[in-house]
Amino acid sequence: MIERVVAELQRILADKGETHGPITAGSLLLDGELPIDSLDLATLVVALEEQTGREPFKAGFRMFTTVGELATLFDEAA
Amino acid sequence: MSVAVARPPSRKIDFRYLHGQPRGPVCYLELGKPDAPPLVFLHGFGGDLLTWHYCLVGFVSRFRVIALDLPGHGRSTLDVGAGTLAEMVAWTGSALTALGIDGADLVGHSMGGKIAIAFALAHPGRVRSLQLIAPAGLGGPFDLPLLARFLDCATPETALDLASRLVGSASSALLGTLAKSLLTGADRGPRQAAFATLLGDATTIGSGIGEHGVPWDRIACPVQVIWGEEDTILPLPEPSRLSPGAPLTLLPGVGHLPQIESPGRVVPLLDRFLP
Repeated sequence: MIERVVAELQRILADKGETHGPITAGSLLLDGELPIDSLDLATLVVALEEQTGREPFKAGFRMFTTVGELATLFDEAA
Repeated sequence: MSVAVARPPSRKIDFRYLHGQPRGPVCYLELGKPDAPPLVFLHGFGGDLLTWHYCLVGFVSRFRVIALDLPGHGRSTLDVGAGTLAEMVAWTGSALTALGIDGADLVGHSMGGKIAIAFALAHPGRVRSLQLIAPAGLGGPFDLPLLARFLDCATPETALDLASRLVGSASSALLGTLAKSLLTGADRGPRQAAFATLLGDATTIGSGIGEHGVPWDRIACPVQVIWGEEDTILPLPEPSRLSPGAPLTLLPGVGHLPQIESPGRVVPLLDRFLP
């Protein structure tokens, strides 16, 4: 799942024309080094939901801050 | 031989606009389930719909999530009229109607909280629940001069100073990003005029709603209040100004931006309170 999250993030950033460093499991999604905002975050989550058919927040919100934590939420929603 | 294949854009969610509105375009964000109950977010003074951070994604599975850019903010019209609360309420009502929303669960922060309260008073049948994050309008202290001073003299130094006043002690990691955002927002001529109008009209974000505070007895829907314990811009007012019986959560180490400073606590609070 982490590869899919990273790939989708790279795609979003490429569409914005943003340059960025390596994206790892520990990369912060907001307020970190990645040039993404809450709209990009929403795009990322919705895109992943559509691709996987999984809804990690259906039973309620669970906090995540990093790429790896988001991937884990999608893994657990399987 | 390679063939270039057009790639569909990855941005499945983007800013949307309502045109034909009385004061000019309304910018909003819509995500979630189109047929689900609407959940509407109203941001605070100087912010925009992007300041909801994690709040929006947390509800996409169960709600039609709408975040508005209020007049003078974000990508919506810069025409704030006289900046009165009545105008803001009318504007909000018009936008929701244009979006086909008759009734909604409302979440408002600071100035957006005050508008949400006034909207619930004016249109009780259109509000299913009211969740208020450090809302203006309850009366009590409000450090408006700090905001006015920043608008008069927006520099990297004053932006950092304001940022440090906006967040609590547990959020120092946000200072750089926040200061940059404040400086960007204050650096536009026409927007400065809109901000000044809103700030100058005490009925919009200054004094309380009603001479004796909010007439909570006229709001029948469930109300929840969330506040940062270290909010020095708009500190928690005395208990008599709060909605009687409404759950109040105070967040330690948090200042005036709970949804940004502590989304891990704020979003579940919002979530559990929704009908």
